[in-house]
Amino acid sequence: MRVKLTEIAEVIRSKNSGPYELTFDIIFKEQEVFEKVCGGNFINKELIAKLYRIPVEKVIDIVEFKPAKAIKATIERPISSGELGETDVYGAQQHAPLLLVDVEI
Amino acid sequence: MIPEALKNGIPVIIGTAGGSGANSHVDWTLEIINEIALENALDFKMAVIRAEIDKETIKQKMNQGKLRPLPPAPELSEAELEKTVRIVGQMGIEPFMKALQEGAQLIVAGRAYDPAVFAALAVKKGYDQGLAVHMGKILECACIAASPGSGSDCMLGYLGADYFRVEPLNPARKCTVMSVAAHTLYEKTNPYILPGPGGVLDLNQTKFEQENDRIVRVSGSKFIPSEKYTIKLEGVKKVGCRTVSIAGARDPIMIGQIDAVIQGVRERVDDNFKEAELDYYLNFNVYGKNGVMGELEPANRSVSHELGIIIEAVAATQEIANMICSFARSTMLHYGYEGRISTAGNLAFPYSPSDFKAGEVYAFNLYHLIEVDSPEELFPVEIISSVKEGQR
Repeated sequence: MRVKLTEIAEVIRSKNSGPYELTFDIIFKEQEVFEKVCGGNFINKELIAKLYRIPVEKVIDIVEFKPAKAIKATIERPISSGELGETDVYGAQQHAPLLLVDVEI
Repeated sequence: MIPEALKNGIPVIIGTAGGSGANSHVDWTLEIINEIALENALDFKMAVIRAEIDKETIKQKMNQGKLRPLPPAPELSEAELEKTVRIVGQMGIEPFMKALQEGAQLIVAGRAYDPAVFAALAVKKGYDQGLAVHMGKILECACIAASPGSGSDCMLGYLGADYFRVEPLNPARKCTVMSVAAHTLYEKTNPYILPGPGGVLDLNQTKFEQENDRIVRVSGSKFIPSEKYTIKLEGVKKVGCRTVSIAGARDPIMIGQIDAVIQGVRERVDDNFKEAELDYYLNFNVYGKNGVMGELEPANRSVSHELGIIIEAVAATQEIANMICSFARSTMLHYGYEGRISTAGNLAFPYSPSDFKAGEVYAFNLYHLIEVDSPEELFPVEIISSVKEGQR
Protein backbone atom coordinates (compact mmCIF):
# COMPACT_ATOMS: atom_id res chain seq x y z
CA MET A 1 0.00 0.00 0.00
CA ARG A 2 1.33 3.40 -1.00
CA VAL A 3 0.83 6.08 1.69
CA LYS A 4 1.87 9.67 2.14
CA LEU A 5 4.34 10.45 4.93
CA THR A 6 1.83 12.96 6.28
CA GLU A 7 -0.61 10.08 6.94
CA ILE A 8 1.84 7.96 8.94
CA ALA A 9 4.01 10.60 10.62
CA GLU A 10 3.14 12.58 13.72
CA VAL A 11 5.92 15.12 13.22
CA ILE A 12 7.76 16.28 10.12
CA ARG A 13 10.08 19.19 10.83
CA SER A 14 13.32 20.93 9.94
CA LYS A 15 15.80 22.89 12.04
CA ASN A 16 19.43 23.94 12.17
CA SER A 17 21.91 21.56 13.67
CA GLY A 18 24.60 24.15 14.15
CA PRO A 19 25.01 27.01 11.64
CA TYR A 20 26.18 24.83 8.76
CA GLU A 21 23.64 21.99 8.78
CA LEU A 22 19.92 21.49 8.34
CA THR A 23 18.33 18.49 9.98
CA PHE A 24 14.96 16.90 9.21
CA ASP A 25 13.00 14.77 11.67
CA ILE A 26 10.22 12.40 10.68
CA ILE A 27 8.56 10.92 13.75
CA PHE A 28 6.15 8.09 13.03
CA LYS A 29 2.89 7.32 14.81
CA GLU A 30 3.11 3.51 14.85
CA GLN A 31 6.09 1.33 15.72
CA GLU A 32 5.12 -1.19 13.03
CA VAL A 33 4.90 1.42 10.30
CA PHE A 34 8.19 2.97 11.43
CA GLU A 35 9.86 -0.43 11.14
CA LYS A 36 8.40 -1.00 7.68
CA VAL A 37 9.64 2.36 6.45
CA CYS A 38 13.10 1.63 7.90
CA GLY A 39 13.06 -1.89 6.45
CA GLY A 40 12.17 -0.58 2.99
CA ASN A 41 14.95 2.02 3.19
CA PHE A 42 12.59 4.57 1.67
CA ILE A 43 14.13 7.57 3.38
CA ASN A 44 17.62 7.46 1.94
CA LYS A 45 20.33 9.87 0.86
CA GLU A 46 19.26 9.78 -2.78
CA LEU A 47 15.67 10.74 -1.92
CA ILE A 48 16.79 13.69 0.22
CA ALA A 49 19.24 14.84 -2.45
CA LYS A 50 16.50 14.72 -5.07
CA LEU A 51 13.93 16.51 -2.86
CA TYR A 52 16.28 19.38 -2.14
CA ARG A 53 18.03 19.42 -5.50
CA ILE A 54 21.48 18.93 -3.95
CA PRO A 55 24.31 16.51 -4.77
CA VAL A 56 24.04 13.29 -2.76
CA GLU A 57 27.36 13.97 -1.00
CA LYS A 58 25.75 17.03 0.63
CA VAL A 59 23.46 14.68 2.54
CA ILE A 60 25.49 14.14 5.70
CA ASP A 61 23.60 11.32 7.35
CA ILE A 62 20.34 9.41 7.68
CA VAL A 63 19.77 8.00 11.18
CA GLU A 64 16.97 5.77 12.44
CA PHE A 65 16.24 6.56 16.09
CA LYS A 66 14.21 3.72 17.55
CA PRO A 67 13.35 5.22 20.96
CA ALA A 68 11.37 7.98 19.20
CA LYS A 69 10.20 5.96 16.16
CA ALA A 70 12.02 8.56 14.12
CA ILE A 71 14.12 8.92 11.02
CA LYS A 72 16.48 11.86 10.86
CA ALA A 73 18.20 13.23 7.78
CA THR A 74 20.84 15.94 7.86
CA ILE A 75 22.16 17.99 4.96
CA GLU A 76 24.82 20.60 4.52
CA ARG A 77 23.29 24.05 4.24
CA PRO A 78 23.82 25.70 0.85
CA ILE A 79 24.33 28.98 2.74
CA SER A 80 25.21 28.98 6.44
CA SER A 81 22.77 30.42 8.98
CA GLY A 82 22.76 34.22 8.98
CA GLU A 83 25.11 34.52 5.99
CA LEU A 84 24.18 36.97 3.20
CA GLY A 85 21.54 35.52 0.90
CA GLU A 86 20.28 33.07 3.47
CA THR A 87 16.49 32.89 3.86
CA ASP A 88 15.75 30.86 7.01
CA VAL A 89 18.06 31.66 9.94
CA TYR A 90 16.74 28.82 12.15
CA GLY A 91 16.00 26.46 9.29
CA ALA A 92 12.50 25.90 10.65
CA GLN A 93 10.61 26.04 7.32
CA GLN A 94 12.59 23.73 5.08
CA HIS A 95 10.53 20.60 5.68
CA ALA A 96 7.75 21.13 3.09
CA PRO A 97 9.17 18.89 0.30
CA LEU A 98 8.99 15.96 2.75
CA LEU A 99 5.22 16.45 3.08
CA LEU A 100 4.78 15.23 -0.50
CA VAL A 101 6.77 12.03 -0.11
CA ASP A 102 4.95 8.72 -0.25
CA VAL A 103 6.24 5.29 0.72
CA GLU A 104 5.20 1.68 0.23
CA ILE A 105 4.15 -0.06 3.46
CA MET B 1 14.38 33.53 42.46
CA ILE B 2 17.58 34.91 43.98
CA PRO B 3 16.20 35.87 47.45
CA GLU B 4 14.43 32.50 47.81
CA ALA B 5 17.46 30.53 46.67
CA LEU B 6 19.69 32.37 49.18
CA LYS B 7 17.18 31.74 51.98
CA ASN B 8 17.15 28.02 51.18
CA GLY B 9 20.86 27.60 50.48
CA ILE B 10 20.33 26.58 46.85
CA PRO B 11 22.94 27.77 44.36
CA VAL B 12 21.66 29.85 41.44
CA ILE B 13 23.51 29.09 38.23
CA ILE B 14 23.05 31.31 35.18
CA GLY B 15 24.63 30.00 32.02
CA THR B 16 25.00 31.60 28.67
CA ALA B 17 24.09 34.86 30.36
CA GLY B 18 22.18 37.48 28.44
CA GLY B 19 21.63 35.60 25.22
CA SER B 20 24.96 34.79 23.63
CA GLY B 21 27.35 34.81 26.58
CA ALA B 22 29.80 37.44 25.37
CA ASN B 23 31.31 39.80 27.97
CA SER B 24 28.75 42.53 27.25
CA HIS B 25 25.96 40.03 27.98
CA VAL B 26 27.63 38.91 31.21
CA ASP B 27 28.02 42.55 32.30
CA TRP B 28 24.36 43.28 31.58
CA THR B 29 23.33 40.28 33.69
CA LEU B 30 25.66 41.41 36.49
CA GLU B 31 24.01 44.85 36.49
CA ILE B 32 20.59 43.27 36.92
CA ILE B 33 21.82 41.09 39.77
CA ASN B 34 23.47 44.07 41.41
CA GLU B 35 20.15 45.94 41.25
CA ILE B 36 18.29 42.99 42.79
CA ALA B 37 20.92 42.70 45.52
CA LEU B 38 20.63 46.40 46.40
CA GLU B 39 16.83 46.41 46.34
CA ASN B 40 16.65 43.39 48.64
CA ALA B 41 19.72 44.22 50.75
CA LEU B 42 21.38 40.95 49.78
CA ASP B 43 25.13 40.70 50.21
CA PHE B 44 26.39 37.37 48.91
CA LYS B 45 29.33 35.70 47.27
CA MET B 46 29.10 35.14 43.56
CA ALA B 47 31.26 33.82 40.75
CA VAL B 48 31.68 35.31 37.30
CA ILE B 49 32.96 33.02 34.57
CA ARG B 50 33.64 34.81 31.32
CA ALA B 51 33.72 32.96 28.02
CA GLU B 52 35.13 35.43 25.53
CA ILE B 53 38.43 34.32 24.06
CA ASP B 54 40.93 36.68 22.46
CA LYS B 55 42.34 36.17 18.98
CA GLU B 56 45.90 35.81 20.30
CA THR B 57 44.94 32.69 22.26
CA ILE B 58 43.28 31.23 19.18
CA LYS B 59 46.32 32.02 17.05
CA GLN B 60 48.60 30.20 19.50
CA LYS B 61 46.33 27.16 19.53
CA MET B 62 46.18 27.27 15.75
CA ASN B 63 49.98 27.23 15.51
CA GLN B 64 50.11 24.30 17.95
CA GLY B 65 47.67 22.37 15.77
CA LYS B 66 45.04 22.46 18.52
CA LEU B 67 42.28 24.06 16.47
CA ARG B 68 40.09 22.27 13.96
CA PRO B 69 36.80 23.12 12.21
CA LEU B 70 33.64 21.27 13.02
CA PRO B 71 32.71 19.99 9.57
CA PRO B 72 31.09 21.23 7.41
CA ALA B 73 32.53 24.51 8.77
CA PRO B 74 35.51 25.63 6.69
CA GLU B 75 39.16 25.70 7.85
CA LEU B 76 40.27 28.95 9.48
CA SER B 77 43.06 31.01 7.94
CA GLU B 78 45.00 33.65 9.86
CA ALA B 79 43.50 36.31 7.58
CA GLU B 80 39.99 35.10 8.39
CA LEU B 81 40.81 35.01 12.11
CA GLU B 82 41.89 38.65 11.86
CA LYS B 83 38.40 39.57 10.63
CA THR B 84 36.78 37.98 13.67
CA VAL B 85 35.27 40.55 16.00
CA ARG B 86 34.13 38.29 18.84
CA ILE B 87 34.78 34.72 19.91
CA VAL B 88 33.17 32.74 22.71
CA GLY B 89 33.88 29.21 23.89
CA GLN B 90 31.28 26.82 25.27
CA MET B 91 32.37 25.91 28.78
CA GLY B 92 31.61 22.52 30.29
CA ILE B 93 30.63 21.60 33.85
CA GLU B 94 34.11 21.98 35.36
CA PRO B 95 34.33 25.79 35.73
CA PHE B 96 30.89 25.69 37.42
CA MET B 97 32.08 22.94 39.78
CA LYS B 98 35.09 25.04 40.66
CA ALA B 99 32.91 28.08 41.39
CA LEU B 100 30.65 25.96 43.60
CA GLN B 101 33.72 24.58 45.36
CA GLU B 102 34.78 28.13 46.13
CA GLY B 103 31.44 28.74 47.79
CA ALA B 104 29.67 30.84 45.18
CA GLN B 105 25.96 31.19 45.96
CA LEU B 106 25.29 32.53 42.51
CA ILE B 107 27.20 31.94 39.29
CA VAL B 108 26.98 34.10 36.18
CA ALA B 109 28.64 32.41 33.25
CA GLY B 110 29.19 33.49 29.68
CA ARG B 111 28.71 31.03 26.82
CA ALA B 112 28.16 27.59 28.29
CA TYR B 113 27.16 24.15 27.04
CA ASP B 114 23.43 24.27 27.79
CA PRO B 115 23.25 21.13 30.03
CA ALA B 116 26.25 22.26 32.11
CA VAL B 117 24.27 24.64 34.35
CA PHE B 118 22.00 21.75 35.36
CA ALA B 119 24.60 18.99 35.56
CA ALA B 120 27.47 20.74 37.39
CA LEU B 121 26.11 20.58 40.95
CA ALA B 122 24.92 16.98 40.51
CA VAL B 123 28.27 15.77 39.17
CA LYS B 124 30.07 17.64 41.96
CA LYS B 125 27.94 15.72 44.43
CA GLY B 126 28.94 12.44 42.83
CA TYR B 127 26.05 11.70 40.48
CA ASP B 128 26.66 9.98 37.17
CA GLN B 129 27.77 12.46 34.53
CA GLY B 130 25.97 10.75 31.65
CA LEU B 131 22.61 10.90 33.40
CA ALA B 132 23.19 14.39 34.78
CA VAL B 133 24.14 15.78 31.36
CA HIS B 134 21.29 13.98 29.59
CA MET B 135 18.84 15.33 32.16
CA GLY B 136 20.37 18.79 31.66
CA LYS B 137 19.84 18.47 27.93
CA ILE B 138 16.13 17.93 28.48
CA LEU B 139 15.76 20.55 31.21
CA GLU B 140 17.45 23.24 29.12
CA CYS B 141 14.52 23.09 26.69
CA ALA B 142 12.06 22.42 29.52
CA CYS B 143 8.53 21.91 28.24
CA ILE B 144 9.54 21.79 24.59
CA ALA B 145 10.10 18.14 25.55
CA ALA B 146 6.55 17.82 26.92
CA SER B 147 3.24 17.23 25.17
CA PRO B 148 1.74 19.60 24.20
CA GLY B 149 5.06 21.37 23.84
CA SER B 150 5.76 24.88 25.06
CA GLY B 151 8.79 27.10 25.18
CA SER B 152 7.58 28.94 28.26
CA ASP B 153 6.85 26.31 30.94
CA CYS B 154 9.30 24.82 33.42
CA MET B 155 10.27 21.20 33.91
CA LEU B 156 11.44 19.44 37.08
CA GLY B 157 14.19 16.84 36.95
CA TYR B 158 14.78 14.17 39.61
CA LEU B 159 18.19 12.55 39.46
CA GLY B 160 18.85 9.15 41.05
CA ALA B 161 21.87 6.85 41.13
CA ASP B 162 21.01 5.06 37.88
CA TYR B 163 18.07 6.96 36.40
CA PHE B 164 16.47 10.36 36.10
CA ARG B 165 12.86 11.44 35.79
CA VAL B 166 11.38 14.51 34.17
CA GLU B 167 8.05 16.09 35.00
CA PRO B 168 6.41 19.24 33.57
CA LEU B 169 5.23 21.74 36.20
CA ASN B 170 2.20 22.92 34.27
CA PRO B 171 -0.59 20.36 34.85
CA ALA B 172 -1.80 20.96 31.29
CA ARG B 173 1.33 19.20 29.98
CA LYS B 174 2.68 15.68 30.14
CA CYS B 175 6.01 14.04 29.53
CA THR B 176 5.54 11.02 27.32
CA VAL B 177 8.17 8.56 26.12
CA MET B 178 7.47 9.97 22.69
CA SER B 179 7.84 13.65 23.65
CA VAL B 180 11.03 13.10 25.64
CA ALA B 181 12.67 10.72 23.16
CA ALA B 182 11.72 12.98 20.26
CA HIS B 183 13.38 15.90 21.99
CA THR B 184 16.67 14.03 21.76
CA LEU B 185 16.49 14.57 18.00
CA TYR B 186 16.04 18.30 18.28
CA GLU B 187 18.75 20.37 16.56
CA LYS B 188 21.10 17.37 16.47
CA THR B 189 22.71 15.47 13.63
CA ASN B 190 23.02 12.09 15.33
CA PRO B 191 20.73 11.46 18.31
CA TYR B 192 22.74 8.49 19.60
CA ILE B 193 26.04 10.34 20.02
CA LEU B 194 25.88 13.88 21.36
CA PRO B 195 29.28 15.58 21.55
CA GLY B 196 29.94 18.18 24.23
CA PRO B 197 32.84 19.66 26.17
CA GLY B 198 35.27 16.91 27.17
CA GLY B 199 33.37 13.97 25.76
CA VAL B 200 30.24 12.56 24.23
CA LEU B 201 26.88 11.60 25.62
CA ASP B 202 26.17 8.09 24.34
CA LEU B 203 22.46 7.23 24.13
CA ASN B 204 22.82 3.83 22.45
CA GLN B 205 21.69 2.04 25.63
CA THR B 206 19.23 4.69 26.81
CA LYS B 207 15.81 3.52 27.91
CA PHE B 208 12.80 5.84 28.07
CA GLU B 209 9.94 4.52 30.22
CA GLN B 210 6.56 5.96 31.15
CA GLU B 211 6.54 6.06 34.96
CA ASN B 212 3.08 7.50 35.30
CA ASP B 213 0.74 9.67 33.30
CA ARG B 214 3.05 12.70 33.38
CA ILE B 215 6.55 11.47 34.26
CA VAL B 216 9.14 9.78 32.07
CA ARG B 217 12.00 7.80 33.55
CA VAL B 218 15.28 7.65 31.62
CA SER B 219 18.22 5.33 32.23
CA GLY B 220 21.29 3.93 30.48
CA SER B 221 22.75 7.20 29.14
CA LYS B 222 26.54 7.25 29.36
CA PHE B 223 29.15 9.98 29.29
CA ILE B 224 32.31 8.89 27.49
CA PRO B 225 35.25 11.26 28.06
CA SER B 226 37.25 12.06 24.96
CA GLU B 227 40.99 11.49 24.83
CA LYS B 228 41.63 15.21 24.64
CA TYR B 229 39.35 17.81 26.20
CA THR B 230 37.92 20.09 23.54
CA ILE B 231 35.84 23.25 23.68
CA LYS B 232 33.55 24.46 20.93
CA LEU B 233 34.21 27.98 19.70
CA GLU B 234 31.75 30.30 18.06
CA GLY B 235 33.06 33.43 16.38
CA VAL B 236 31.71 36.10 14.09
CA LYS B 237 32.99 38.66 11.67
CA LYS B 238 31.26 41.87 10.72
CA VAL B 239 29.88 41.69 7.21
CA GLY B 240 28.64 45.29 7.03
CA CYS B 241 25.48 47.30 7.63
CA ARG B 242 22.09 46.45 6.21
CA THR B 243 19.13 48.43 4.87
CA VAL B 244 15.95 46.75 3.65
CA SER B 245 12.87 47.92 1.81
CA ILE B 246 9.66 45.89 1.89
CA ALA B 247 7.25 45.99 -1.02
CA GLY B 248 4.48 44.05 -2.71
CA ALA B 249 3.57 43.48 -6.34
CA ARG B 250 0.11 42.67 -7.71
CA ASP B 251 0.43 43.34 -11.43
CA PRO B 252 0.27 40.01 -13.31
CA ILE B 253 2.33 41.32 -16.22
CA MET B 254 5.15 42.29 -13.90
CA ILE B 255 4.83 39.12 -11.77
CA GLY B 256 5.13 37.04 -14.95
CA GLN B 257 8.58 38.47 -15.64
CA ILE B 258 9.81 39.24 -12.13
CA ASP B 259 13.22 37.62 -12.69
CA ALA B 260 13.88 39.85 -15.70
CA VAL B 261 12.70 42.93 -13.78
CA ILE B 262 15.08 42.16 -10.92
CA GLN B 263 17.92 41.56 -13.36
CA GLY B 264 17.19 44.88 -15.05
CA VAL B 265 17.10 46.76 -11.73
CA ARG B 266 20.40 45.15 -10.69
CA GLU B 267 22.04 46.29 -13.91
CA ARG B 268 20.77 49.84 -13.45
CA VAL B 269 22.11 49.96 -9.90
CA ASP B 270 25.49 48.53 -10.89
CA ASP B 271 25.71 50.93 -13.79
CA ASN B 272 24.83 53.95 -11.66
CA PHE B 273 27.47 53.24 -9.00
CA LYS B 274 30.19 51.73 -11.18
CA GLU B 275 32.39 54.80 -11.05
CA ALA B 276 32.08 55.20 -7.30
CA GLU B 277 33.87 51.84 -6.83
CA LEU B 278 31.57 50.89 -4.02
CA ASP B 279 31.53 47.43 -2.58
CA TYR B 280 27.98 46.37 -1.78
CA TYR B 281 25.68 43.38 -1.70
CA LEU B 282 22.25 43.80 -3.25
CA ASN B 283 19.62 41.11 -2.94
CA PHE B 284 15.95 40.72 -3.83
CA ASN B 285 14.18 38.06 -1.82
CA VAL B 286 10.83 37.37 -3.41
CA TYR B 287 8.13 35.80 -1.24
CA GLY B 288 5.71 33.93 -3.43
CA LYS B 289 8.65 32.75 -5.49
CA ASN B 290 11.20 30.66 -3.55
CA GLY B 291 11.51 33.32 -0.83
CA VAL B 292 11.58 30.73 1.97
CA MET B 293 13.66 27.92 0.52
CA GLY B 294 15.84 29.66 -2.06
CA GLU B 295 17.91 27.19 -4.00
CA LEU B 296 16.62 24.22 -1.98
CA GLU B 297 13.11 24.80 -3.35
CA PRO B 298 11.99 21.92 -5.55
CA ALA B 299 8.63 23.45 -6.59
CA ASN B 300 10.32 26.17 -8.64
CA ARG B 301 7.26 27.80 -10.13
CA SER B 302 5.32 30.80 -8.92
CA VAL B 303 1.55 30.52 -8.88
CA SER B 304 0.91 33.37 -6.50
CA HIS B 305 -1.21 36.29 -7.67
CA GLU B 306 0.89 38.61 -5.54
CA LEU B 307 4.52 38.76 -4.47
CA GLY B 308 6.30 40.12 -1.41
CA ILE B 309 9.66 41.62 -2.26
CA ILE B 310 12.43 42.46 0.17
CA ILE B 311 15.11 44.63 -1.33
CA GLU B 312 18.26 44.31 0.76
CA ALA B 313 21.51 46.21 0.59
CA VAL B 314 24.58 45.45 2.72
CA ALA B 315 27.64 47.68 2.56
CA ALA B 316 30.56 48.86 4.66
CA THR B 317 28.59 51.72 6.22
CA GLN B 318 24.94 52.34 6.98
CA GLU B 319 24.97 55.39 4.68
CA ILE B 320 26.12 53.37 1.68
CA ALA B 321 23.60 50.62 2.41
CA ASN B 322 20.83 53.24 2.69
CA MET B 323 21.84 54.76 -0.61
CA ILE B 324 22.04 51.47 -2.53
CA CYS B 325 18.73 50.28 -1.09
CA SER B 326 16.95 53.53 -1.87
CA PHE B 327 18.32 53.65 -5.41
CA ALA B 328 17.31 50.03 -6.06
CA ARG B 329 13.87 50.64 -4.54
CA SER B 330 13.13 53.74 -6.63
CA THR B 331 14.52 52.05 -9.77
CA MET B 332 12.28 49.05 -9.24
CA LEU B 333 9.27 51.29 -8.51
CA HIS B 334 9.53 52.94 -11.91
CA TYR B 335 11.20 50.21 -13.95
CA GLY B 336 9.79 50.00 -17.49
CA TYR B 337 9.46 46.30 -18.13
CA GLU B 338 8.20 44.63 -21.32
CA GLY B 339 4.46 45.09 -21.92
CA ARG B 340 3.95 47.41 -18.94
CA ILE B 341 0.53 49.07 -18.85
CA SER B 342 0.60 50.22 -15.23
CA THR B 343 2.88 53.24 -15.58
CA ALA B 344 2.43 54.95 -12.19
CA GLY B 345 4.54 52.56 -10.10
CA ASN B 346 5.39 48.87 -9.82
CA LEU B 347 5.49 48.41 -6.06
CA ALA B 348 3.07 48.65 -3.14
CA PHE B 349 4.88 49.82 -0.02
CA PRO B 350 3.18 48.86 3.25
CA TYR B 351 5.09 51.51 5.22
CA SER B 352 6.28 55.05 4.95
CA PRO B 353 9.20 55.55 5.18
CA SER B 354 9.72 52.51 3.00
CA ASP B 355 13.32 51.70 3.95
CA PHE B 356 14.56 50.27 7.24
CA LYS B 357 18.03 50.47 8.69
CA ALA B 358 18.75 46.99 10.05
CA GLY B 359 22.13 47.94 11.48
CA GLU B 360 25.29 45.87 11.72
CA VAL B 361 25.36 42.41 10.18
CA TYR B 362 27.55 39.58 11.44
CA ALA B 363 28.19 36.10 10.10
CA PHE B 364 29.76 33.01 11.64
CA ASN B 365 33.38 32.55 10.70
CA LEU B 366 34.46 30.32 13.58
CA TYR B 367 32.75 27.08 14.43
CA HIS B 368 35.72 25.15 15.65
CA LEU B 369 36.99 22.83 18.34
CA ILE B 370 39.95 23.86 20.42
CA GLU B 371 42.04 21.50 22.51
CA VAL B 372 42.66 22.66 26.06
CA ASP B 373 45.07 21.47 28.75
CA SER B 374 42.38 21.75 31.41
CA PRO B 375 38.61 22.34 31.25
CA GLU B 376 39.06 25.63 33.15
CA GLU B 377 41.92 26.94 31.00
CA LEU B 378 39.80 29.37 28.98
CA PHE B 379 37.25 30.11 31.69
CA PRO B 380 38.76 31.80 34.75
CA VAL B 381 36.50 31.81 37.81
CA GLU B 382 36.36 35.24 39.42
CA ILE B 383 34.80 35.54 42.87
CA ILE B 384 33.04 38.83 43.64
CA SER B 385 30.31 40.23 45.88
CA SER B 386 26.77 40.97 44.83
CA VAL B 387 27.25 44.53 46.04
CA LYS B 388 30.25 46.65 45.20
CA GLU B 389 32.53 48.47 47.66
CA GLY B 390 30.85 51.77 48.49
CA GLN B 391 27.35 50.33 47.96
CA ARG B 392 27.31 48.73 51.40
